[in-house]
Amino acid sequence: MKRSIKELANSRDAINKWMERYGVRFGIYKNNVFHEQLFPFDSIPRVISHDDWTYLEKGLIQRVKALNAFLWDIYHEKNIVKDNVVPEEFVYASKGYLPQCEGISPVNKVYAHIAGIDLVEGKDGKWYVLEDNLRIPSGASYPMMARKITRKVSPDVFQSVHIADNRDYGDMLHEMISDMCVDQGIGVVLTPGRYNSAFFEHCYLAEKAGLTLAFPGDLFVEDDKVYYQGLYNEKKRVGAIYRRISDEYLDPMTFEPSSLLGVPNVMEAYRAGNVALINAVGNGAADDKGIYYFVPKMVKYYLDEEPILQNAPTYLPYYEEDYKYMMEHLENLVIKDVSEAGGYGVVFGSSLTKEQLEERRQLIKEDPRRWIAQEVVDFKDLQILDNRKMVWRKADLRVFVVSGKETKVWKSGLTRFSRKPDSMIVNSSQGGGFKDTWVEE
Amino acid sequence: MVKSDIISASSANHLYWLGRYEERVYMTLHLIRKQSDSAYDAIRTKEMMYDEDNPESLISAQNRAMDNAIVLRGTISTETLGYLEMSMVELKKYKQQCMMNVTNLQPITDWALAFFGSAEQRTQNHKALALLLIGRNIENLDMLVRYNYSVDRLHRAWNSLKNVANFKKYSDENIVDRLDLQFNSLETESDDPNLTYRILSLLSVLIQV
Repeated sequence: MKRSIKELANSRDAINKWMERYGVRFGIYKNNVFHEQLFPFDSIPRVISHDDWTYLEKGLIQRVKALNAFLWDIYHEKNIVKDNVVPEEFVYASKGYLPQCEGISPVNKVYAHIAGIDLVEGKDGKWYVLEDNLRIPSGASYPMMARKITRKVSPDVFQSVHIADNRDYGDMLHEMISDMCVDQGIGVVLTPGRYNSAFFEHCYLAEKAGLTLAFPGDLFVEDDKVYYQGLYNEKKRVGAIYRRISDEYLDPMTFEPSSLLGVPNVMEAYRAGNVALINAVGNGAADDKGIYYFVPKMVKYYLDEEPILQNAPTYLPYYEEDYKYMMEHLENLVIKDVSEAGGYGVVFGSSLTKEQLEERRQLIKEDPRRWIAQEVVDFKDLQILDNRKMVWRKADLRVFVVSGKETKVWKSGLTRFSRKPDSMIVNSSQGGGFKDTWVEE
Repeated sequence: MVKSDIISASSANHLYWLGRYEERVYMTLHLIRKQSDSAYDAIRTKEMMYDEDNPESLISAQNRAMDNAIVLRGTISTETLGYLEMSMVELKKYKQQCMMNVTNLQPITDWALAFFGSAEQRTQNHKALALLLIGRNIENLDMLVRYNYSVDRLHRAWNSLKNVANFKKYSDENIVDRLDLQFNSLETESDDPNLTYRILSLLSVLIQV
């Protein structure tokens, strides 16, 4: 294994040339100007042992099943609220909770068809869940592409290591979308367009999953059914939309009326059961950082099982005991704004001055529902090649869990690392890079 | 669930213009080489290669081709798109280096040809491929007309265009008939200064996407 990894390290330049050739990019806006850049790739993979993966796989399937059950419940009977497991205001005051989704019954009761669960491995060898991404989790295309390229550049490496093949993600998506597809319609990936930061991924996943890429304006609704508009008034029934547009812009007749990105009346088609939306609308109610605190309780409540995966130790100032602890130990905690994403709204207490800590305490006091705090998990560092030198950097892992008729975990993942020493912010939008993730067989 | 072969109006437009612009890359390089061979003009050559404000330049054509191709990855495939990506990277490098020896730009020509070859191999949607090749052939003919190529060459290019699969489906029958008349009159009315203009005007409205 070590020799294989060394060979990949030596192939870095060749691999990066192929990345450039295949246009493996993401976009960011700087001062309102759109820039596209190659996603920095480190050719040394993260390797996960077979035993670790077996544990993670069981835990992830369990967690996603519980989250799907929670989403069904809060938009229907609301038993978890009635039984006082999750406080009412945590659900209904959440930005992600959408009353327009009340009573809608997605096929197979699946809301989060594609879940991106962010994990970290601590230096103590334990794995912790950092975040559940159930709306539009991004990033699977990068390890797909990385593996394709590294196999091309160094085929002999893959003869000598026994790792799971990850080239099946397109097939997994296709199978899941076929399971969900209504009335034998076609499956589409709905993209907001060329200047979305994840546009490369939209196109690549459409290509690999055998789906049609649709832009705003390509879809329309007639008699509560969704169609793809072809040339010369041709139209094709759409059975499933893998939408990469956020909830608020998806349907101007239901949500943000100024949205030009969405499909007018698509929610009516969805409500009538005439189209599947992948992922369902309203999932934000379950991937709110405040709701994250309750996920282990959801596992017990819906599945009657002990949670396999642990959250990072988390405090919710909504509860008096947690509030007191946070006020006393704020400088040692990570403070997160529940409404932010992409690594934004995350502050390390240790980086704040005395005055800033006081300001933060005041904000928490005024609106406890808006904040959570976590103990700083000492991430395991991974080796990165930085200017031909091996250095150690913090890294997390986003694993993709796909739920159709069955829930399956893709044997791969997006390992993101920080390029700055000692920084725990790994997001691409904030300068992070990525690695391939190998799962030993 | 089978992938549909339906094409949206916007995709059809992008495919057609991708074919046109990438053929323009190929033909522009060809013409620069021809010109460099007969009467080299450094300033004009530089403008024709690297001036991004000049819509007729090589780099402008490549940029426009890329703009159209980037939204068609799923249709033409990542491998096919890769030829344009490489072309863009190299062209930007040559511009920075102020590479004036057009021979060194041979890879751009090679990748333009590889792009069309790859597209023919890998584009599964036959309607999409047809639009790409129609665009390519129209641009080829357009440039041959503009640069006063021989009557024989023009006839061959016009016939090649008419023989592209699905040409009849996407073209205006009346315009085809009128173009037939214009091309047939090339031998007898070659002195007519408006003939070129008429042909180019008809070509610009030939395809309805």
